[in-house]
Amino acid sequence: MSGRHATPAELELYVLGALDAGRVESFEAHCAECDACAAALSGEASLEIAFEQVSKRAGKTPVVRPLRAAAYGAAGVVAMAAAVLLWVGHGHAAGLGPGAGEGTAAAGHPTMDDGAILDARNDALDGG
Amino acid sequence: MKAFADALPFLGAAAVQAPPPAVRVERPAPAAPLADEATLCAAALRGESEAWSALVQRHNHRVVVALLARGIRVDRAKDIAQEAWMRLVEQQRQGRLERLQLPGLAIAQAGFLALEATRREANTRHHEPLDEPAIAVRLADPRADAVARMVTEERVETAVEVLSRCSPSARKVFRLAYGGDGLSHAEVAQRVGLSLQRVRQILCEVRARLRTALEGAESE
Repeated sequence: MSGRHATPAELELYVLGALDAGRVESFEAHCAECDACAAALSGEASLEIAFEQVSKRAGKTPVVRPLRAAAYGAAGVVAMAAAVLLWVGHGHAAGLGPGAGEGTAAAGHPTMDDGAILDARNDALDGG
Repeated sequence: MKAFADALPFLGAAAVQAPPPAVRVERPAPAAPLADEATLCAAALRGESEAWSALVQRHNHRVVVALLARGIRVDRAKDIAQEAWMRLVEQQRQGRLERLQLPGLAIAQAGFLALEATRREANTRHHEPLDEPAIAVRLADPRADAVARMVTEERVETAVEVLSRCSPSARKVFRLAYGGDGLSHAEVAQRVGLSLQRVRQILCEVRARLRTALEGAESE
C-alpha cells in the first residue's frame, strides 16, 4: 500500500477541492488501495452531497428573522387589543343607546341582539 | 476516438488510450475574469473546445465527488468522470445535445457509466448480481429505500435548522458554495468580497456544525 493514511482534515480538504496540490497525488494513490481510507473518503463525499441538499432546502425554507418576528408579534397584539376595544365599545353602544359608542366602529350602526338575528333568519326561511 | 481526443485539449490524446491514465483535473482558482456559466454553456453547445475545457475545469471535481459518494474508488471515479465528459462532447458533436445544465448532466452521465460498468462486471462474474447482499436486501424489502429516504429527510431538516442559526454572512458563503451553480471557492470569495482563505475557513466552520448536527441525528 502506498503512502500514509489520510487524516480527517485531508479528506475534508480533498472533497472541498482544497487539498495541497503536492499531496493530492499520493492521497489519491493511497485511497485507491486502502479500503479504510476509501470508505472514509466515500463518507466525506456523501456528506458533501448532503450539504448541497441542505443548501437547496434552506433556499426553499422562509427565514423568519428575529426582529421581523417580534414586529409581527407586536402587530398581532395591537390588532387583538383593537378588536377587544371595538367589542367593548360595541357593548357600550348596545347598552347605552345611540351616541354612546361614538368614536368606535360600532358607532352609527344599528345594534341588533342575537334573538333579533335569529328572528330575521327564520323570517327569511319562512319566505317572509 | 483518437481524433476526438485531439480536438479536446482538456482531456488529452492519451486519455482515450487504454489503460486510462491518472489525469489530475482539480478545481481551479481562476485569476482571470470569471466567465458566466450560461455563456460558457452556450459556447460549448456551439462546439467551442475552450468553453468545454473551462466547464470541465469548473465541474469535474464535483462529478468525481458524486461518484466517490457512490462508493467508487477515486482512481476509477476520475476515469468515469473523464469518460462522461467525452460522451457529452460526443453527443454535442452529433447534434444530440440541446441543453447543457452542469454539473447535473455530467453527474447523470457519469452515474449511468458507473452503473453500466457495474453491470458489465456482474456479467463477467457468471451472472451473479444478486450475490450482492445490499441489492438482495433491497429487492426483498422495498420499504428499506423509503425508510432510508425518511431518515435522510430528517437529517437534512436538522441541518437546515442548524444552518439557519449561523451568521448571515456564513449562510451566504455556504449557499453560494453549495448552491449548485458550480462556483469555485475563489468565485465565492469574489462575490462576497472576502479572501479565499476566509471563505474556506467559514466553510469549514459551517461544515463542522452541520456535521455535528447530522451525526447527532444519526446516533439517535
